Parts: sequence; C-alpha cells; structure tokens
Amino acid sequence: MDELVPTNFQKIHILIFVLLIFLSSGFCQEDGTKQTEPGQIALYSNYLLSSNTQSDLLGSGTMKSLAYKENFNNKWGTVNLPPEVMDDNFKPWESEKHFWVGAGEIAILEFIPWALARWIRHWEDPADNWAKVSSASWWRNISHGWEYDGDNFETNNFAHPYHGALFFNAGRTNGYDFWESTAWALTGSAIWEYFGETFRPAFNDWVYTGVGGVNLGEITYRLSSMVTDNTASGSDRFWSEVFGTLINPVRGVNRAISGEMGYNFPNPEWNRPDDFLLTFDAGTRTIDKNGDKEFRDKELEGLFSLRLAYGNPFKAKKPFEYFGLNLVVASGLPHMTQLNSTGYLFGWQLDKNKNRFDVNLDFNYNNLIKQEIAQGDTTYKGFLFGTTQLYPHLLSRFSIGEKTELITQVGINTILMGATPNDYYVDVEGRVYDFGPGIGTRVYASIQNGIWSYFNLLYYAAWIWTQTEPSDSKHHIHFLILEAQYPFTTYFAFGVSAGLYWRNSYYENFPDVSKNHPIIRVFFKTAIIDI
Amino acid sequence: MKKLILITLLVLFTGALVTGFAQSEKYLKNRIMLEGMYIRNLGNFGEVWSKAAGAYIGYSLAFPDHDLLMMRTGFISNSLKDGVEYQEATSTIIPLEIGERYYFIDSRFMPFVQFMNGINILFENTNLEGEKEDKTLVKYAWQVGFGITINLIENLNIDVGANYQSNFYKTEGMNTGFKYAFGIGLAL
Repeated sequence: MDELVPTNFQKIHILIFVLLIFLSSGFCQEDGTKQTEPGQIALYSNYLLSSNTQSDLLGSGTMKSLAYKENFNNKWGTVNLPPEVMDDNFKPWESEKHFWVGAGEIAILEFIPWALARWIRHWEDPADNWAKVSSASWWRNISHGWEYDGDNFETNNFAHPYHGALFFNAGRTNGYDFWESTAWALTGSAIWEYFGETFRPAFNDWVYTGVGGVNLGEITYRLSSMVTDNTASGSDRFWSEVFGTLINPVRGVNRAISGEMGYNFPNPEWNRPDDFLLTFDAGTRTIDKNGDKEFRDKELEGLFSLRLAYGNPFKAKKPFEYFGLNLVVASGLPHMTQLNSTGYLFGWQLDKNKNRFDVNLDFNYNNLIKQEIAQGDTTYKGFLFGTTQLYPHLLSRFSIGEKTELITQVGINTILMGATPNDYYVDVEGRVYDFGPGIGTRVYASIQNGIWSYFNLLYYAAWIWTQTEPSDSKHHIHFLILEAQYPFTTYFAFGVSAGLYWRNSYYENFPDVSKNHPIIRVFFKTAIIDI
Repeated sequence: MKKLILITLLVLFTGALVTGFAQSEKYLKNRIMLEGMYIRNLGNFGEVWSKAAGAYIGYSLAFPDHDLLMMRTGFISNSLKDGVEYQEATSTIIPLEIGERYYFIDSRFMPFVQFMNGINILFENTNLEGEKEDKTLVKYAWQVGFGITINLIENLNIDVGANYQSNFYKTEGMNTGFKYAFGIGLAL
C-alpha cells in the first residue's frame, strides 16, 4: 500500500498540475491570441534565478476580473457609469500638494513601529529595548554617524523597502510627483535611523528603505491606482477600494480622508496602462546547496512564480510607466525565495521602436539560504544575493521573422547596496552576510514569438566590495541562466531552465572562497491577465 | 581685509537696492558658484580633527520651478584638535559631489533645502590613532542642509547655508560634522 501514498515530491507535482489545469481552464481565452503588436513587450530584465521568462510577449484577451470589466471594451479607464452620475469638476486629492498631511503620515508611520517596540514588545533584557531613545541617544547618533547594522536578510531586503514604500507614498499620494516623493522616502528613513532607534543610523537601512522604498512605493502606487475604479459603485467599488488599500495603505487612508472613496469621478488617464500582463508558473527547482562543485547536496522543491509586467519599455516616458515585478515562493524554507522588480526611470529613444538607452531602478531579492544547526554550530547552505541598483542599458529589438523578434539588453549594474555572503563574518543579530556597493554588467537576449519566449539567455555579473567584517573583502558574483519554453496550446507552455550561480570571494587576511551552485528548473506556465 | 569684504558687500547690496527691486523676472538660473566653508567635526573623528576649512567651485543647472542640480568639487583641510600632538599630521579632502537644491520660492530672497552626495578623496599621513601611514581613501560623502540665496543684482547672488554631513571614514570614526558655507554665484 505504501507505494500508493504519494511522496512529497509527487505531492508537489500533483499540486502544480491541479493549479495549472485550474488556471488554464478558468482564464483561457475564447478567441485565441492576437498577433503581437510592435512594442508590446514585458521585459523582466532582473529576474535572476527562476527567470523562466526574461521577456514575455503576450497577446490580447481581456479577462473578467475586478480590474478588467467586460464593458471596458478592452481598454482601461472607460467610464462605466452614466455621464450624469459623474462629476467631471471634482478636484482629485492628488491634484494639489498636501505637505502637512504627508508630514503627519510620516510621523504616524514612524510612531507605530517605534511605539510597538517601546511599549508593547516584551524584552527579556529591558536594556535591549532600542526604542528607548532620548536626546542623548539622538546626539550620539548625530555625532557618530553611519554604521552597518546586524539585521537579517529578510528585514533588510523586504521589511525595510516596504516601510520605505509607505514613506514614499506619504508624498506620492499627497500630490507630489515621483522625483519629489523620493525625498519623502529618503527623509522618512533618515528620521527613523537618527531618531527612532538608540542604535547608530544604519547606512544599509537608509538605502534599502529610501531607494528600495521608491521602487516598491511607485509600483504599489500604480497598482493601487489601477485596481481602484473611481467610476464604479456598489460592491464593485467597495472591493476595488479594499484591494487598492491593501496594495497601498497610505493611498487608501488619503482616499478615505479626502472622501474620494465614496465619490464618482473620472479615473486619471494614466492609471490603466495599454499593456498589462500577469503570468503564473509552477514547477520544481533543484539546486546544489553546498556549492562545492561535487553536487552531492541537492535540494528539490516546488516553485511558484507570479510575474507582472506593467506598460511597455519601448513606450515608457515617465518613471515607472513600465515596470516588472516577480514574486517567487518555494515549498522549502525559506518560502519567500525571490522578489525582483525593475522600473523605468528615464531614457532616450535612439531609433524609433528599435533601440533605446534607458536607466532602470532595480530591486533584487534572492534568498535561498537554508540554515542548519548541528551541535551548536551554525552552517548556512545555498546562497543569497540582493541589490538595490540602477541599471543603465541599451534596449534593442530586432525582427528575425514575420512574427519573431530578438530582444536584447546590454548594460551596467550600478549597485548602490548589495548583499552577499561573507564567509568570515561573525553572525550578529541574525545577519550572515555583508553589505557594500558594487558594479558589474548584465547581458540579456530573448527570442520571442507571440506570447512565448522560446529562448532566453541572461548573464549577470557584479563586483561587490563589502564594508564591515572582515574589511577589504570583495566578491565577484555571477549568474548565467539559459531557458527554453515550448507552448503546446495557445495559452499553456512547458519550460526548462538551467542556471549557474557562482561566487569568488577574496579576503585580505583569510583564504579566498569559491562557490558554485547549479540550478535546474522545470515548469508549466500560463497567462492569467493579458491586455 | 574685513573692511574690504564689508565694502564689497555694501556696494553689492546697494546696487541690488537701486537696480534690483524694480525687476520681476525669475532668478532661478544656471550658475557657477564659489563657496567657502567652515566645518565643525563631531564624534571620534572630531576628537582628533576638530575642525576643517575649505572651498568649493561648482556649476548648477536650474529646473523649473524650484530645483537646482548642483555639481561641485573643491578642497578641504582638516585641523588637529587643540591638545592632540600628532607630529606634522595632515588630512585633506577633495570632494566630488552632485545633488539637488530645492528653492521654496523664486524671488530675490530664496530659502532652500539641499542634499548633496558623492565621494571624498581623502589624503592623510596619520590615522586617527596617531600612527604614521600615508593613505589615499575614497569614501562616500553625504550632507543635507538649508540656507538662503540672496540675489543682489540680476545675475549675482550670495548664499549662506548650514549643513549636517555624515561622510564615511571608518566605522569607529565617521567624518560627521556641521558645515557652514558662504558663497557667491554668477547666473549664466
């Protein structure tokens, strides 16, 4: 009977299969896919590890969902209320700057986590309470300046950018534009670092919260605006406001206090992009955890990815008119294994719809470390890698057939803050890695036809100079990923991906270390929403 | 020297009174700037190098209606604290900075906040502990401040400002301090 009981491995595959059948049948398009229009490209330039799609070119088909209504006539922003109900003279909250409301929201966003730590959280040793700030601690922080803190990877690479996104939106949803709102994120973070904790201000926190927060902040701002329909009423309106607030709580608060939540008025023209794509894929990944080139310690796990492409990189003119977001969850620990986003900042068109020079703001989170404790010793396997970076690059498109295109990207990784394992760093407060700035290169190529990327190649390299312990160490990090997809229906594909992560770390007073982690993925993929 | 500066300022200010107030044009323009500074160092760094003085020369691009993109370089010389007996110790910095100044209003008197960052190329022959060692360091530099620009005549202005800086040096002794600056700008 035992052989009838599925193993964990089999369970993963059953779950994947059921999920994909459900998704592919539930969201499939009745009229098939349209021919790809020029420029309708969703480019995930920074999806490093599970990048089963570095670039997707999907067709049309409007899905019925909260944000996509049948009577929208396949276009975003179409009013679905009688004209007499609409108030075209309504002045939206964001049409004017509300400095003091934003400042008050920053104060609340600082106060809540501070108060929770100060009065609610239980401290075994009250002396550890970092929220017991005073004028003496403030002056000490001002006098001594920056340091690098001991927070773990998740805190630095996920919690801090999210906190920064809230700061950013205290400006963005109070009438400030993208660039002005970056000052809100950086200032909100600096206030916390200098005055919210007894610790010295952490430079890594400031970058992750301030710059990472800008990235996630503008993404949540645009997604929240997209799902919120000012022209809707009834339960549609209620749920659109609920989802909009969940995506961007600060915007939800401002819509509530301004009365916009209960008012019908036209949607802003920009809030629903011409191109929008949401895909889901599921499969398995095997990775060598030790990185010792003997490949004896493989780990097999289920992997589920949600990818979103908003806008078109060949059409973008304003910051984040194009962005990509990639969330990957693994069945193994840590479950939250990957979070990548890239957003267009500014650029120049060199050749219409063919070559562009763009600068993107990228945020990369790759956390595959598995902690293993044996007889008091802590060892860490797998790898981690995170960056907040700018990516100036040349983006090109070449026609290589009637419907087939080659998309390429060549650029420089300008890493403002990178995170990578440091083999001799002493674990403090859960941190098992080190920080530092860096620079590198990225080359990407994809052959696309219709909605599928038949072949993808990504090479990503970076030098990171870590700053804390031991000093004078540097790390050369590489990713190489090759991937192929084969569609066996118009909306359903099978894919294989093989990749390699390797790291050479150089230390001034310790032996150098070289790690090598092969990765193989097999997956099924489908499109959930495609406009 | 003081009299010369005073007379120069008086002439400029009088000129501004006579010629300036009748104009209603915009003052936010591209500029070249020359600034002098005094820095009061803090923390462990300030326990050795207590103060510094230097100058910037820079160019700035104006963006409507409030912003000035600033690029500048200069020379800064740190001075030992009284009582620190390091023999022939020197510490000098060449800053390379870029940043933004936000003007609240575009008028004759223009209050601003600014953020500058970049790198400090630091040359020293003695470390904080007093050990002789010639070193050239390249470190991230950051400062935030506020001030006011006074447009004396159409194309000539003066700036005064106060800034807080937290520049990287070493973890136990970051180069923090308060910087006070006085500058002259020529609009182009």
